[in-house]
Amino acid sequence: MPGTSTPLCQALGTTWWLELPTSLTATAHQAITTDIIHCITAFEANYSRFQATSFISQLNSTGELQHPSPECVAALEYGQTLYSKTDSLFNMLIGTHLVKRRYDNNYSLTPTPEPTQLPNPLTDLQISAEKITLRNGAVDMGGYGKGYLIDQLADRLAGQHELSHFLINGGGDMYAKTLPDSPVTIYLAHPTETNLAVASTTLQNEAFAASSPHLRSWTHRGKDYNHLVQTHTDAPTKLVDGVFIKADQAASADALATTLLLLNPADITAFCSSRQLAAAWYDVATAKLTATPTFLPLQRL
Amino acid sequence: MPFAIIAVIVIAAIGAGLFIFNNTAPATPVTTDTATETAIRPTNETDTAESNTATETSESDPDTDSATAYTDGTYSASASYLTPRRTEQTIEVSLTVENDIVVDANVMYDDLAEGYSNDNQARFDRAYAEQVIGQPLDTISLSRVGSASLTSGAFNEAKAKIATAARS
Repeated sequence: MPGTSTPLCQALGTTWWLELPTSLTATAHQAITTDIIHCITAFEANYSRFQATSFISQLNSTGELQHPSPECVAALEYGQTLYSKTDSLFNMLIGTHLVKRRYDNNYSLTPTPEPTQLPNPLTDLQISAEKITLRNGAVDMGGYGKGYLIDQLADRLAGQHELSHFLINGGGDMYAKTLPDSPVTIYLAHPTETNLAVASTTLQNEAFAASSPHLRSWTHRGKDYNHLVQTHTDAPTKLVDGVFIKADQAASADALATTLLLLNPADITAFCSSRQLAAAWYDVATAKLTATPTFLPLQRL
Repeated sequence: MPFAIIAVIVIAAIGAGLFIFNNTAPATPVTTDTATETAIRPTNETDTAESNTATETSESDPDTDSATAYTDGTYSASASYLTPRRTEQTIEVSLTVENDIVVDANVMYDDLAEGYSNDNQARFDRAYAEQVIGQPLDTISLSRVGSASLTSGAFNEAKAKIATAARS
C-alpha cells in the first residue's frame, strides 16, 4: 500500500487522500474511489455550516430540524458526549462565536464582539428522533466532523468494500487499517514550517489527528485571531504550537487535538495522564517534542 | 541533488512518564551562509575546513552504478575553527550517501554528540537541518503527512517550490 501525493478530492475546506491495496483491479479501485468521494461530498452537503442548505445550517438559522435522519441524530449526539468527556472543554455550540469572529462562509475575518456566555450542548441542544431543537448558540462540527467522517469512511472501506488495509487522510487527520505486523509510517508536520516534518511515527488500526493554533489564524487591527474558542474562563496564557493525537477513532482524535489546544501546556500532561491519551505536542521555540508513552514509537527528523 | 532527511533520535524519559525528543537539528529553516554550506556538501568532503582530516568509508562498489554523481558510502570530515572570541572549537560532520541521496548525517561539536556550547553551533545545526534533509522531497507522500487542517495545500505548494529549487 504505497503512499500517494495525488489528492482524492477537496472537501470540508481541505484536501483528501486515499490509499488502497495494490492488489485491487483498476475497476475495483475506481469504484471504491468514486464511492468514497460520494460519501465525502454528501457529508459536506449535510453537515458543514459553510453550506447554506446543510442540516447544520438549517438548525442554526431556524433553531430546529424536523424529522432528522438517524445519522444526523447520531452525529450530534456524539458531539454532546465530547462535552462531557472533556470536562466541558469541547463545546460544539461555538458556531456563533466563530461567525462573530467572521470565521464564516466568506472567510471575511473582520471580527465583531462575541457573546460573553457559552451555550451548553447538553441543555441548549435537545435531540430526539422527531426533532432537534437549538435554544442558544450555533452548531459547529469543525472540531470533530472531519474525524467523524473519516470513521464512517473507514467502516465503509472495511465493511462494504471488505478491504483488509487502507489509509484515509483528510487534511492531515487519518485512519489506517493495516495488515498484521505491517504498521504504516506517517510524518508529523511542523506547525508553522509546513514544508517540514518534525518526526515520524506509525499507525496500526488506529486514527491520528493534529491541530495547531497557528493555522486558520489571522490578524485584524493588530489583534490575533484563530479558529479556537476558549471554553473555560481560565484561558491559557500560552498555547502549545502543535498537538498530535492517536486514538481508536478519528472523531475522538480530532476532538481531543482541538481540546488540548485549549489548555495551558503545563495542564496538558495531567489531562493526558488522567485519560491515558496517546498524545504528543511540539514547541516551536525550543523544537521540543513531548509525547506520552502510548504515542510511541516516535522518531525525530 | 535532491535533499534528504536526517534522522537523529535523542530520547530522554522524564519523571512524568513523558518522552521529550530534542533534535540536535531543530527543523526551522534559516538562511545558510556559504561557510557552513560548503562544510556539509558531500562533493566537498575533502575541502570542508581549513585544517584536519577528511575520510571516506565507501560501503559499495563504485562501479556498480555509474549513473550516480556520488559514490555510495559514508563520508566524514573534521575541522577546527576559531570563534569570534578566539577560542578554538572542533566540528565533525558525517554523511551517508546512497544513490545520490543523503540518508544519514551527524554533526558533533567538541566531541559532544548533542547540546551546544554556543549559539553559533545551534545556528549551524538549523542551517544544516535545512540543507541536509534525508529524504528526497519528491518521495514524501502527502497521504502520510499528519498536520492540522488546511496545512496540506500550503505544504503542497511549498514542497513544489522547494523541489523546483533543488533541481535548479
